[in-house]
Amino acid sequence: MTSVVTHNPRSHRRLPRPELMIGIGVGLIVVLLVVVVIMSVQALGDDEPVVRTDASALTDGTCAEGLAQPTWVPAAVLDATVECPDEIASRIGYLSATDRLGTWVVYSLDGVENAEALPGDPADRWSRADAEAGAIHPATTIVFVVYPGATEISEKLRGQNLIISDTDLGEGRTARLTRVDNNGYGPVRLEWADDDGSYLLLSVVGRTADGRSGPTVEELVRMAESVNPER
Amino acid sequence: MADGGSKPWVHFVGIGVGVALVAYLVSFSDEVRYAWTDRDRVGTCENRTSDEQGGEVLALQSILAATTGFTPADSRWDKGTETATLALQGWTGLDPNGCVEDSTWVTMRVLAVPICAPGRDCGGPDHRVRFPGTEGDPREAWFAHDECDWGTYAFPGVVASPVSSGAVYAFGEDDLVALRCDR
Repeated sequence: MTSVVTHNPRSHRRLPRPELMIGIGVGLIVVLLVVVVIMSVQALGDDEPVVRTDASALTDGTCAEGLAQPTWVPAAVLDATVECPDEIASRIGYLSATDRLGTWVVYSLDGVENAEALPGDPADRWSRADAEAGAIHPATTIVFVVYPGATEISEKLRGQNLIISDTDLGEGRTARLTRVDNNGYGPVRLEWADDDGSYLLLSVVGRTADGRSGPTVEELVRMAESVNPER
Repeated sequence: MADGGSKPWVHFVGIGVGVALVAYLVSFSDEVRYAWTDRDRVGTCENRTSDEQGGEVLALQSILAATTGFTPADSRWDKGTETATLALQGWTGLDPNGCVEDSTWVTMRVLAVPICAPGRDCGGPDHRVRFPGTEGDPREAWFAHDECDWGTYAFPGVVASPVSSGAVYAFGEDDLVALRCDR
């Protein structure tokens, strides 16, 4: 006699609740989406990495080493010259409080358009046409000044050809962006402060006989964004 | 029939408005006096022949020395000063006219960076315009923003008679005047 076992209570397994399965599925989808988004952002950013090299290495071995400074600089930056407070005071001899002076980092820029183009002659012999065309100009630099311990930025400048606005540097920092609106050219300043000090970035978007010189405003803002107060 | 009785609150409002107006005028005149901008038009502005010398010319010549290598800064407007002004205007995008008017003054002002931490006093000239020089040393101009006025520090090697090296001259309209403030 054979018997057919149609039901074995000991082999009974309870199926997971449908709500649990749905939750697990949704969770997996969310994780997958996050991974895809992160990979996409990284892939898009490959052409323009946030920090190619740490530009603060340009000031190693100087009095600026250890101070907050840009970790990113435009590709045209060749090197940096550092001027310490004592050095600056000695230029004119009688500043009494060097502990309140800023430290200057002056970045020089590559390219013939950024090189000095000054005639050696006295100015009254310069070509008027060259002067008007922007063919006579100094070397373009980017000046970064850090005032450790200061909490203020300088007074707001005034003038009809100025455009002054606030720009977000991230991490809760906001800089005052001062642009001189001279037909799309002119000096550009960024000033901001944080718990460690006050900072200033200055350069000139220059008009030259062959086009333009200097960094873009976007590059200056990016430099400011890269200033790392936690060196 | 009009009420001939006076209303005290009207008098108080009038006094308040008057005081506010006077305070505004005083503060406005101080602001104009102390500011770098709001300066005279200097140079070949509409063929003007005035403002040919003085503290304002020394100030702009000092900026030209730092930016274009112009020398000497002797506080006298001349053809060399005009050509150097044209060069600075051309490079900074201004319409070149050899006239140092508001927009050129403002452009020059933006180049002047505080030496001293903002809000503090370092006891000397406290603003600087700096560009690279050809022989290692920078080309520079120094300015003092005193409580009474802006002044130009006569940088040695750049200035010439009647300007004296090391002195600070007010941004005066006419003659050279050493900067002295009555605080």
